[in-house]
Amino acid sequence: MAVGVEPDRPPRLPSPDVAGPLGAVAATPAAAQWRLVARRFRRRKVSMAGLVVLGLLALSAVLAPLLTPYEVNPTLDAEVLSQSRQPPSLRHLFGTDELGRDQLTRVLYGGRISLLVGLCVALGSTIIGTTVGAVAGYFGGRVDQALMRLVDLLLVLPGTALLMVAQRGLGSSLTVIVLLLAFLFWRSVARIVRGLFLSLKEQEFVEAARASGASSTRIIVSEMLPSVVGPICVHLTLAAGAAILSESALSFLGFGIQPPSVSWGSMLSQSRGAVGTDLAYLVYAPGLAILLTVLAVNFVGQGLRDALDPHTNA
Amino acid sequence: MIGLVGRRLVWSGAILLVASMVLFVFVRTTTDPLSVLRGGIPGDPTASVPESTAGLIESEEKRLGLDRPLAEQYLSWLSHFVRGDWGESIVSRRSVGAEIRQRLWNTTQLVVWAILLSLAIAVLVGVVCASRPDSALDHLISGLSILALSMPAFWFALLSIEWFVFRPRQQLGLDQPILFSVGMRSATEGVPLDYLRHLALPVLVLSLPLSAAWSRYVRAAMLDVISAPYIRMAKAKGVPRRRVLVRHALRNALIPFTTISAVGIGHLFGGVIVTESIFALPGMGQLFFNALRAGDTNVILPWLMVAASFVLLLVLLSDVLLGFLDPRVRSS
Repeated sequence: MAVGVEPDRPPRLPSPDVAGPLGAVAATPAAAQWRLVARRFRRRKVSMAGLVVLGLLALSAVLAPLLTPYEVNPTLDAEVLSQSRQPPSLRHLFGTDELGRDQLTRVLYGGRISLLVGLCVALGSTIIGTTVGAVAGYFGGRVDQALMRLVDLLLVLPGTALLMVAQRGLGSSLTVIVLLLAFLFWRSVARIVRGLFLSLKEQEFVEAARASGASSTRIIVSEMLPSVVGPICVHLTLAAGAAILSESALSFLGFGIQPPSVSWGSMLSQSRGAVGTDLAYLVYAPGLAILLTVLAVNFVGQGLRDALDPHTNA
Repeated sequence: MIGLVGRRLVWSGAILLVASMVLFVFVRTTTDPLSVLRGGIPGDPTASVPESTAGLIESEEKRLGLDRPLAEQYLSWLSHFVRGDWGESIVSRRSVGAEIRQRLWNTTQLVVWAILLSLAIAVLVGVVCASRPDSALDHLISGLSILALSMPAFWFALLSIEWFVFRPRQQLGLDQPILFSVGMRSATEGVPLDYLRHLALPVLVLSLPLSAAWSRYVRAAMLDVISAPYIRMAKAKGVPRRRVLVRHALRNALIPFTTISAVGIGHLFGGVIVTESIFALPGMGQLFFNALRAGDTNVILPWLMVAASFVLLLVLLSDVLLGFLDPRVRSS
């Protein structure tokens, strides 16, 4: 099933959360809205599939030691080395590399880093971006001008190159990479939140809050922010996908996660030379893992976007 | 029109000036031109300095002006940079300006072909999908575009080398692959066909995310425009379908797309670094990659400046294009 399909809707029995006017009265308006969104989201099969795939990937990364009998960085003794260059088989589902390391094991452990980077960067960039966007949009004027020029400037600078330079200077710990990527990804959400805040602040409820003496922080956080949670969530997922892609590209170039840590990008970096040789099977598994993860994240993001869009029919 | 170009030029110049300050401070604080002398791993403050080189480091710091305040260093660097004196590479001892000029041309070819290919794909896909929204074809293409956007470009490059270079060569028993995966051209041949065989895969890899993202934008913009009353009007007075789509809808759909496409261009240099390092293309990306690995810090700052200018130039170009498409922009 392709994206953007509105799946067939079988007639449903009224259930508490799908009920008509009476059910809606029972729930508070905010809760009802989120239920509506959840219901619309559940109806998109690809997005639900994405969510399931992501859950499975996260679970397999966490439970990696239980799922595989091999070590991620085994002591390279005769026994391990004798298993080198094994094409995929039942014993080694994704084969082994030149050193006899089981590739499935490394893909599972690599998922830990890639998923962690995706999650942390998504959260970090969203926090920075939302703060900047909210401040720029709410206060407007000079503050807005200054912050938005900064965003313009960052759009021109070659991000990947800056990341590589910074990584050389600051070292390649996971924290550094997460911070650097978060610093690169906050721009888009800042723009979105600013735009929404600019129109929101003209609304009556904001004026009412201001008239009743609420502080700016209070108005921003508890009055206006709840209205933009939807777009922020969409950004969160899309940023996670982009972060996983960026981390893998950086690690592939040798400017990201370094051995003995393993990420999908660094695995591909090590198997670069395998292309066109008998070891070409090494190239498939880590890349497929990246593709599958990012695809799942993007489907979830798109489902979320459509579910939050009041123009799509519920 | 000239006024528009003038205003955008002034704006670009201002952005570039601010960018130069940011980049200068950034590069000076994160890289160390004397890391080779210090002998340590970059970013490792615990690396010890041998007694004998301590004096040398001090005299070099004096010679390069690294002991002066940052603002003073910046002004002196800027005045040299503006006059075209970009310093020399620590590794090759060649002038950085000459090195960049030579490689910029190769990268420009790569980037321009990729942009043209992506534009062609995006317009074609956008028009076809928007003319039959929610059809099977539309869903197929939109699924493919999400797949392309989720694809790690470097992995796609590795796969394309395996499947389009090595496999066909082995299977068909050729002594030369059909498409090449290394370099820009063969030493012995100069025909256009040879050029195509070298650039086909890198251009494909670079255009994959670009064409996917742009296709989605053009489709969305087309759908927006098609519901406008003037399109219904055009249809009602009997303008042929194809003409309505191309003349009336596409031209207006390209207006929002032009501003968005400029944003995508900023990410282009990341793709260039990856693509050139995989396909061993002697361009800007490879220069940067090699310079950074060798600790050749003199190349990095001019490189970043040129990359930023390149992106600014493309953004400027899309602004001018916008002026052509949209009379409102021209007059305002």
